[in-house]
Amino acid sequence: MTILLVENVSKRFGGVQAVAGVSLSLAPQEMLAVIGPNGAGKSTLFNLIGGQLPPDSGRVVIAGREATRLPVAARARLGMGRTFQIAETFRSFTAQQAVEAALLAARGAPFRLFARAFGPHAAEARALLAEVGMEEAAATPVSTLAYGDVKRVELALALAAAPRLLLMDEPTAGMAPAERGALMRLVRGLARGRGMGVLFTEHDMDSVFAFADRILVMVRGAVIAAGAPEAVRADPAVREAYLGKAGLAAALRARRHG
Amino acid sequence: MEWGFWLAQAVSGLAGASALFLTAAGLTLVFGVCRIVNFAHGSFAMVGAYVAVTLLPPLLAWSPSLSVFLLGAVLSALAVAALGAAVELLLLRRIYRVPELFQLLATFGLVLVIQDGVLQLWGPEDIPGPRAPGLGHGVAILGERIPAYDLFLIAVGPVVLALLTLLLRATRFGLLIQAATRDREMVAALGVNQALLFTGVFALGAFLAGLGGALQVPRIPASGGMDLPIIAEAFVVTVVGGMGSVPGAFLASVLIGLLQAFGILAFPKITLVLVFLVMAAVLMLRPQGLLGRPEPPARGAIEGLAALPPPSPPLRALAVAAILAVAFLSDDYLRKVATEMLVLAIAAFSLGFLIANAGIVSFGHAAFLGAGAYAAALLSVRAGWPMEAALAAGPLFAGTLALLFGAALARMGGIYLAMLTLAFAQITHAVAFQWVELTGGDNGIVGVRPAWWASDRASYLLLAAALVLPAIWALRRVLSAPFGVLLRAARDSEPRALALGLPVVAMRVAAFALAGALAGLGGAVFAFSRGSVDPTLLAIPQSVDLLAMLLLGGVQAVAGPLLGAVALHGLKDAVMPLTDLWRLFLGLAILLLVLAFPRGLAGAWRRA
Amino acid sequence: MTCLRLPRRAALLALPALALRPAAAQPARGEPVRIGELNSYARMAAFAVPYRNAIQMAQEEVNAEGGVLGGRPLEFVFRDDGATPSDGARVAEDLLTRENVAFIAGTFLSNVGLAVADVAARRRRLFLATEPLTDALTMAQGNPYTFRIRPSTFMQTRMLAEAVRGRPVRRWAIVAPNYEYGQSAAAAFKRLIAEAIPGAEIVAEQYPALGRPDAGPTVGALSRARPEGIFNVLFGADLIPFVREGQIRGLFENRTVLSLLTGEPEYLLPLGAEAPGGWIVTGYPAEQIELPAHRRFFDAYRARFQDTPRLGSLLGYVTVQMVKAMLDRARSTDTDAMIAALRGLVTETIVGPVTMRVLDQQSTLGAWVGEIALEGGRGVMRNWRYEDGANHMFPEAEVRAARRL
Repeated sequence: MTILLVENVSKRFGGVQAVAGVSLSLAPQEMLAVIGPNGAGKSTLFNLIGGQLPPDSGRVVIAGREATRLPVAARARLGMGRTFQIAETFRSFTAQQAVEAALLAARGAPFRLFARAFGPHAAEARALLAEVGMEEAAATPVSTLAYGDVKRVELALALAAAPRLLLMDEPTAGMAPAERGALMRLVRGLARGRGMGVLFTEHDMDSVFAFADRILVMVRGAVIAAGAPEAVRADPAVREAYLGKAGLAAALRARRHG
Repeated sequence: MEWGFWLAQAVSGLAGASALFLTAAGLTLVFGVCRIVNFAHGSFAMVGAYVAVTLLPPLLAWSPSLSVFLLGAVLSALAVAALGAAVELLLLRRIYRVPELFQLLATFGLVLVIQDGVLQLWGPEDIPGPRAPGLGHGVAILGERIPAYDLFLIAVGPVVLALLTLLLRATRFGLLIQAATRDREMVAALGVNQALLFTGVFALGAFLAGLGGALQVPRIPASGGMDLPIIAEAFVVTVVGGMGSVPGAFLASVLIGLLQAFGILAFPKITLVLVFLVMAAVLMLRPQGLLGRPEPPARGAIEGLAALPPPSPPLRALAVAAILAVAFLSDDYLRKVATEMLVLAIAAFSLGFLIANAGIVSFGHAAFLGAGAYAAALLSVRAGWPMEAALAAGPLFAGTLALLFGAALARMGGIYLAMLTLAFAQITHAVAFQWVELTGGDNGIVGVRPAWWASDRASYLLLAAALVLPAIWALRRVLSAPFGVLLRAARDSEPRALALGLPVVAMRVAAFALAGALAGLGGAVFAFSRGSVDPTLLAIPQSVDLLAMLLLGGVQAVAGPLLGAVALHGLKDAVMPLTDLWRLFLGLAILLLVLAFPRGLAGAWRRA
Repeated sequence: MTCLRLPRRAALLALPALALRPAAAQPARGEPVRIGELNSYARMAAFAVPYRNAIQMAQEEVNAEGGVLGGRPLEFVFRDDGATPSDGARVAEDLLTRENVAFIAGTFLSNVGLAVADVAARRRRLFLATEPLTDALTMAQGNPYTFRIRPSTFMQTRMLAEAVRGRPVRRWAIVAPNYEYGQSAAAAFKRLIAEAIPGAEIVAEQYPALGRPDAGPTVGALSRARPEGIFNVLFGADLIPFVREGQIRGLFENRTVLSLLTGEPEYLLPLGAEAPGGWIVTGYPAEQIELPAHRRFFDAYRARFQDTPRLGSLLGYVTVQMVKAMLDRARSTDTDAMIAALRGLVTETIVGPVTMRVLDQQSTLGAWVGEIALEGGRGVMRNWRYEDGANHMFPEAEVRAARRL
């Protein structure tokens, strides 16, 4: 069974072929990482799958349903969730309220004018916060949380819609190294426990090789290698194009510490 | 013969375009760097014109030559530049971090102050300027006499564009302006003295406005009412051209100038609407304007009406008690004022709902207040509907209008959205003002009478309270219902809201319609209270008043807009009888409020 | 409002003006008769301030001569109407409710006048509309409580159309500001010129937006139609650029130009040396009017305010004269008595007798129609004559139809 199927999608911006005929598939419980040097087309691929951009050609199937031209919100209703490189949360709420709002949104009653918004989903919201390890911070305004915690709240918001497919754009960007492993471990646990497929991009190679079930390597818009971490690590093409360049690796490391 | 006519028409249009470009270029530069939409920019042009009509006659008496004329114009512009620098140093410098809507409001306060200042300095009569020496005649071309000064003005536009381009491309100051327009944080990070840059840019913008005003005096007189028409057109040009883009402003000026020259031949009667229709059309097709860059996400959105404590029962009871007391214990005048305060309270609260909760900055909310009032008045007076039905029709009509406007602009954001709401409000105003057969034009519609059972002021006040207070409470309820909460969530993060499957655009359109309908309810109540309606109800100053109420009361609490409405209306009522200079006092009050309480009075009180 | 009330010292300074009066009766004393006066003193200062000056002057004269209603002084309570109908209506209510005024008077802008008239009708109190021009005030929107003093748009348009009666000028162009005043003046002109000149036709109409004085395109569009005559309704800040542009481009050469209000000092003075010679206008040639009463008024006004009277001054002064005559006749400040007194009231004003016509409650105060000429570097009216308003009122049948009488 496949939760996400991408067939031969391409996208061109002016003279630049940002994504060139990429195909991939993702199964429930699976953690699939997309890596590649800057400008490889990872973000564009994410936006094609997420619905922010229409592809020039190819197709996107989510949970067996044709989704190539669907807007973002409609994809969400097919079971696609998402986290962002810079966390997108509801800053003016407390963590608990934010998750309750996300639950309201996911339950699809946005035009109810007089019902009470907060309360009906309180227990569920607490459970979700507990799942991401944030039950302590339930009453804290999101705007005052530390960034690592904001990322966890964001994950809870995404989970509120009970997604079967979760897109995570650089889930550990901006986090302290110690927090990263914990977050990725949490995500893998959620994927396994909820039967959710996770597609993520990541600059932190330690996280990628420690937690991805499969890895897709993109260079200049095209997939040059795909497979299990050990196979990718051993692939000479990958080594040459990407990992082998010691300078680049060092730069990446410097960047995430910087 | 015809060719001569078309040429003359084009020359007129292009001459107007040049003058417009000078003013608009200043506005767009200031916006690009300081991110301030300066309502007082037209006032700067007006001051330029007044200084010019004062300076030029003695200068020309001393030596009547074109170069002296130009010298006089540049001196006038320099005087305005000095005024602009002073304004930046004393006022704007302190409010760069304030939400942009309040900045707009502060500059409108400045407009009021300058209006009265000019009146005091130069008197109420229009002052025509001298003609430019050597350019006062007509030049015969193709059988038409074309004013030589128009030809001169046509040349001025491109020359100033070239000089500005040179300044922007070849000087350090210009490069900084360009860099700041593109990326303010970067310029700040580079260690540039931002304060100096902002003052310099603002002075340059004021200089251009002053020059535009000064060079106009051979064509149009200096008059105390010229500021608002100038700023309205400069806004249109700036927005159509793309905010921050000088070449865009030039292109848009030429477009608008020619449109006016030739548009009046085909449509002599829809003069006011034409430019705003073009603006709306351009923005809907190309939201960032002809040569503008897509707007970066709006900074400093006004957050408020957030986690609200419910109004404690005493407060609610207090409101009811106050209204009962006024209804039964006071005089008819107070009853009328109290009714109007209720009207303004629901209008301001619905605007606060849009701005603070939905993140939709509307600068034309009075359009819906007016639409509700007109619908009720027309149906009551012209169609003979009973009051009850007309009162119900007001919010329905205003809500429908808001639904249409909302559908056209819900995909936009930030300052362009605000400008487009302004354009729509101006179109609505122009329809009411110029469609005399239907609306009575500026005379409006009189003789709007309540039903017999509500005809005395006390009963009508109670009726108004019975309509408005539940509406306020209902909207308050909406704030903590899924619709209100999710609107706020979408305001906090649109990407998150979309990723959760929320129909964000549809929700914003619905919010617009709801707010419009409530303002329309206020308008309908107002129509029967005043007994007449007229276009000032939906004009810019009315929208500004509503914003001032938000400013005064703050948007952090439900009570804010309501208190603001009561306070501003009360203030106006108290100050107006005391002095002819009430505009000056109102303007100063707005400035002081923005400076002292950027979060509004209620916000200040809550923090204390 | 206290700061608008004249201090005692100013009243003493005004005494020289009173000395011109032949006999001084006992000054008025006792409880004043208060009159609520609301006008656009801030926005329309050019018109409203000379108006207020003259009212104050006339009020003091009346009071020095014994006041009204058996020795009570007149007291005008001045208020700014905010130049918007909403503010105007509210201020009117305030005056009626709180200031204990006998009646209200004033307003300049037509829409404010109509809104205040509506308040008067609703409160069943007298409103003496002194300045607003709109025909609606005495016609379709007229009400039994509202009386108007100044000659209306229709009356002044009619004076101009009569001035060219029978002349061989057939092709007419109209230029008017695009709002109610401009549009109704244009409509009246179309009708009246057809009566005055058989075969007259309108060959062009231009309605520039009020306050957006870019005259070039308008002048171009008018001259393209090659009219023989032009009817102009533009005024104030819109008029000056139109005149300039038209003169440069020869629009007015060999053409008959009729222009509403342009001869009023408020609009003629700012034109200075560029006043368009030869235009036939309605206006007020203050310094040339030799009626003895007017001459006294003129001199006293100039002595006191170091300025020549404007049309607003004349209206202010005449207003006080009519108020005094009304109170003398009514012998009370009861609204019904005052209304009864006003209907058909003939007042001997400084410009001659003025009647308040019963049918539409419009006064027969007239206007001066003449040609603009340039003298000493400024425009003056020449060949003028006073057109009595009585000859230019709306036909009675039309009034009955419009007011549903």
